Amino acid sequence: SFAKIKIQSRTRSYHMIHFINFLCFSAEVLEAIENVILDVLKSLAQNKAPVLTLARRSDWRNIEFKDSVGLQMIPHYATKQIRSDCPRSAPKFALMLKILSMIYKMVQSNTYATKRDIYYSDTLLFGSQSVVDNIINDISCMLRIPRRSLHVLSTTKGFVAGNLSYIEEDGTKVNCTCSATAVTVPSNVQGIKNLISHAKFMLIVEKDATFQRLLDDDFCNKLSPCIMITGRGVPDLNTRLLVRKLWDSFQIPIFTLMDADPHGIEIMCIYKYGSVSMSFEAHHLTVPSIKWLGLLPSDLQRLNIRKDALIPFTKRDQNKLASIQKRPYIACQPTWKKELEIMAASKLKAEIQVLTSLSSDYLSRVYLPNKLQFGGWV
Amino acid sequence: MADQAVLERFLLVLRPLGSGEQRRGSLLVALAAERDTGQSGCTITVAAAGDLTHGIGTEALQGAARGVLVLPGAPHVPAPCCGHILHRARLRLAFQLWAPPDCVWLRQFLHKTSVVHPEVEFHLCVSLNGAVASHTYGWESGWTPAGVRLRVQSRHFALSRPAAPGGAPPCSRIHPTLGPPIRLPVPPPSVAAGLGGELSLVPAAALCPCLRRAPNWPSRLDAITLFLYDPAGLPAAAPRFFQDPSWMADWEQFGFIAAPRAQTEGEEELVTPDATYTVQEGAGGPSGDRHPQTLLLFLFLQHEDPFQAYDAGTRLVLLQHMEQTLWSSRPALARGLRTLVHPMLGELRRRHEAQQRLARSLSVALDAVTAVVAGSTSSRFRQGCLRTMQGPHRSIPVCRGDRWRRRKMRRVPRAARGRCCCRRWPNGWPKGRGWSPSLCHVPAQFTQFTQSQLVLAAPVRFPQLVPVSLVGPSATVAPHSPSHPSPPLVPVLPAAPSSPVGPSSPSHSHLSRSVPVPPPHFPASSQGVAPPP
Repeated sequence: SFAKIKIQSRTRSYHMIHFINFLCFSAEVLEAIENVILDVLKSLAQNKAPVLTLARRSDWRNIEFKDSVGLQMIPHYATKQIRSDCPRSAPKFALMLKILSMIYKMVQSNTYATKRDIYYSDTLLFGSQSVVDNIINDISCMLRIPRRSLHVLSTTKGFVAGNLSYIEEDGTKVNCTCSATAVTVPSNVQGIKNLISHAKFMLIVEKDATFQRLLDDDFCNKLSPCIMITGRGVPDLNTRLLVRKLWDSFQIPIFTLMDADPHGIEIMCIYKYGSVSMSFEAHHLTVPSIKWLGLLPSDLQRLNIRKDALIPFTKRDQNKLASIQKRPYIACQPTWKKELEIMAASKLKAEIQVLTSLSSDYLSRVYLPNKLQFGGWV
Repeated sequence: MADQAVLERFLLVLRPLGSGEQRRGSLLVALAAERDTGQSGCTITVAAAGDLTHGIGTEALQGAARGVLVLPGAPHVPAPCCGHILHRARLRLAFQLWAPPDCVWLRQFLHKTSVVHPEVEFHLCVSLNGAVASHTYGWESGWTPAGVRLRVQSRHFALSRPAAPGGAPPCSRIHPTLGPPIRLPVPPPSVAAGLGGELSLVPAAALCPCLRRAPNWPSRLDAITLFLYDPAGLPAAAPRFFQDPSWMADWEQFGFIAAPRAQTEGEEELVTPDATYTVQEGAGGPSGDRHPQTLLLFLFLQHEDPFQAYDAGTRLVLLQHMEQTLWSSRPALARGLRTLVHPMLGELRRRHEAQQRLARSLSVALDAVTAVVAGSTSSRFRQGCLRTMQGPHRSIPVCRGDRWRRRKMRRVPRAARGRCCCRRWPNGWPKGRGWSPSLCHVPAQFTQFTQSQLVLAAPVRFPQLVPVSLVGPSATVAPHSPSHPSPPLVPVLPAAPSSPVGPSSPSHSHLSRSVPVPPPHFPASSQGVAPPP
C-alpha cells in the first residue's frame, strides 16, 4: 500500500507539473500574441502602417548545416515584412492577424483545432488550405513557438506499427504491436507518454505500399522486434515529431527504406536533416543519426537488377538530384555522395518494388534481413 | 462674332503657334470699355511679343483685321499689367467693337488655347470703367511628343489635389499618354469646299489629379472631359458626334457606365471642356469615400497639305464639315480611342480592385485586433493598449475630482454612495478649477473614440486634468489613481450618458466599471491606406 500511495502521489505530482507547465506555456503563448497586437497598435498610434516581420523560412541563405542538428536557421536571419498598406501583402497581413486571434482564443479556452478546421471556418476568406498551412508555419516561426503549442493540430497521414505502446494525452492506451494493422501517428505527439518498446531498431519506410507489404509479411516480429513508421511520402510534422520522440526515448538505430530515386533521397534527408521551411524547429524534428538502409543505387548493380526494370530519369529527376548533390549535408556524407554519383552516372532510378522481380517476398525475406545482419547501410 | 473671328485670325497669323517648332513668346488680349462716358463700344488690343513673331510681317495683320474698325496710332490700353508685353510687342492690332464681347467666352477661349501652347504666355486684361481684371497663363514646361504640345499642370483641369498621406507633396502634374494617330478621310463636300490634303486626329489622355504618389489612396473615376483642337491649336467646338460616349470605350467591360452630362458653368480657374460625361461604377465597385478623378481626353486634329497653308478659310471649312468627317471615320476613331483609353481604364479597374482588397483586409485585421484586445484578461496588455491608443500623452491624468469624491464619500451617507458625486453639487461642478464633471463618468462611448479624438483630448491645461472644452460627449478615459491598481478590463455595454457611475467601495478606483479599449483606427499611411469603412 505504501507503493500504491507513492505511485498515486507521483501521478498527482506529474499531473500538477503538467498542469503548471501548461499554464506557464499557455501564458507565454498568449503574451507572445499580445506583444504582436501591441506592436500593431503602437504603429497605428504613431500613424504608421503596421507591419509583421517574418523570417524568410524558405531561403537557403538563412540556413546553416550542423551535422549534430541538420538544417537550422541561422541566428541573424534575413527577414521580410508583411505590410498592411500594400494591396499585395495586406491580405496576408490580415489573415495572419485573423489566425493569431483564433489561436489566442484556443489557447485561452484550452481547445484545439486542426489546420483543416481553421480553413473551413471561413473558406472564402482563406481561399485555400495551403494559405492556412503557410500562415500557421509563419506564425510558428515568428513567435518561435511550435505549432502544437499554438493548439493547432494537423491531421496525421503517417502510420506506425511494431513493438511500441504508449498512452495518449487523453488517456487512450495505444498498442502498435498488432501485426495486421497499423496505427495512425497521433496528432498530439507532444502529449503522448509512457512509451514502452523492446524494439531493437526502427525502420522508416517511404511508401505506404511497401509499409503494408512488410506488415503483411509480419516483418516487425520475424527478424527482431522493431518499430516501423511511414510518412506515406513526404512526412508531415507529426510523423517527424514521432520519429524524433522515439529516438529521444529509446536511442535505437533508425534506418530508412526508400526508393532509389531523387524523390526518395530527398524524403530521407527530411527525416535526417530536416527541411528548409521548418528549419526554425530543427531541434525537434531531425534525427541526424538516421542511416540509409536501402534501396541503394549500388544495390541495383549488386543485385543485377535488369535494366528494363529500371526507369530512366526525367528532367525533373535530374534537376532534383543535382540540387540534392549541392546541399551542404551531402558533403559531410562521403558514402551518400558516392551513391548519388552512381545514380547520376546511370541516370536510372528504381522503386523498392523492383525487388519483386527477383522474388515476390525478396524484400522481407532476403534483402532486409541481409542488410540488417551484415551492416549494409550507409 | 467679330471679336472671335479677329482673335482667331490673329492667332492663325501667328501660325508658328500651330507648327511643330516651339517658339516662346507672349500674347496679349486687352479689352477696355468705358460705360460711364456714355460710349457703348469697347476697344480690343491684341499684341504678340517674343520668338513667335519672328518672320511675320505687319501686313499679315491686315487680313486678320478684316471687318472691324482698326484704330490707328497708339491703342487705348489702360492697364499697366499689359505694359511688359506691349513694350516688347512686334505685332500689335487694336480695333473697336460696338458691343463688348463675352468676357467669359474670351477668357475660356484663351485659357483653352494656352493649354496647347505651354511655351507662350497668354495675358487677358479686361478694363471696365477703370476696374481692371486680368488673367495670365504663364509659360510652363509642357509635354511635347510628336508635334503635340500640352500643359501638364493639373491646376488647369482640377481644383483640388489630394495631399498624399504622411505629408508628401501631392503630384501637381498630369501624365498624358499619346494614342496612335487616326487617319480621317476627307469627305467629298469638304474637298469641294476647298479642304485638301490629309486629315488625322491624334488622341491623348490623362487622369487628373495624379495619384501616383498615393497608389493606395481610394479613388474613383468621376467624369470624362473632352477637348478638341484644330490643326492650329485653336479650340474647336465639339460637334454633336461627341454627344454619345458609348463608342469611345467598352465601358461595361471595365465596370463603368458613361453618360453625357450637360455643360455647366465650370470653375473660373479651370479649362472649360468641349464635352463632359459622367461616369458611374457598376455593381460591385468599391464603396466608401474616394477621391474623384477625371479622365481628360485631348483630340488634336492635324492637317497636312503641301499646296495650301492652314488659314482661317481652311479652319472654317474644316469646322463646318467636322460632323460629317467624324461620322464617316467613326469605326477608326473608336478603334484608336479604345487603344488609348482601354489600358487606362484597365489600370483604374486594377487599382480599384487593389483598394477593395486593401479595405477588406484592413477590416479583417481590425476585427482580429479588436477580438484579441477585447478577449484579453491581462491587465498589463490592456493597459498597454490603452496607453498606446492615448497617443503621446501616455500618462493617464489623475482625476482630482476622484480624490475629492473619495474624501466626500467618507462623509456621504451610505445610501448616497454609488452615485456620481457630480450630482452632489446642485450648482454644478466647482467653477474656476477646470475640472470636468464628465471625468467621473465611465466613458461608455469610449468604444467610439477614434485615435484623433484621443489625441485632441489629451492636451492638458492643468497638469493632471483634461480641459472641459476638449471633452465632448464621448468622454475620454476616466483616469485612475496610480496608487490603486486598475481593475481587470472587461468589455462593457454602452451606457446612457446620464447613468451615474461610482465605485463600489471607496478603496477602489472610481473605474469600477471597466474601460473598454477603443478599436484601433487604421490611419492613412504614406502610401495612402484607406481607412476601413
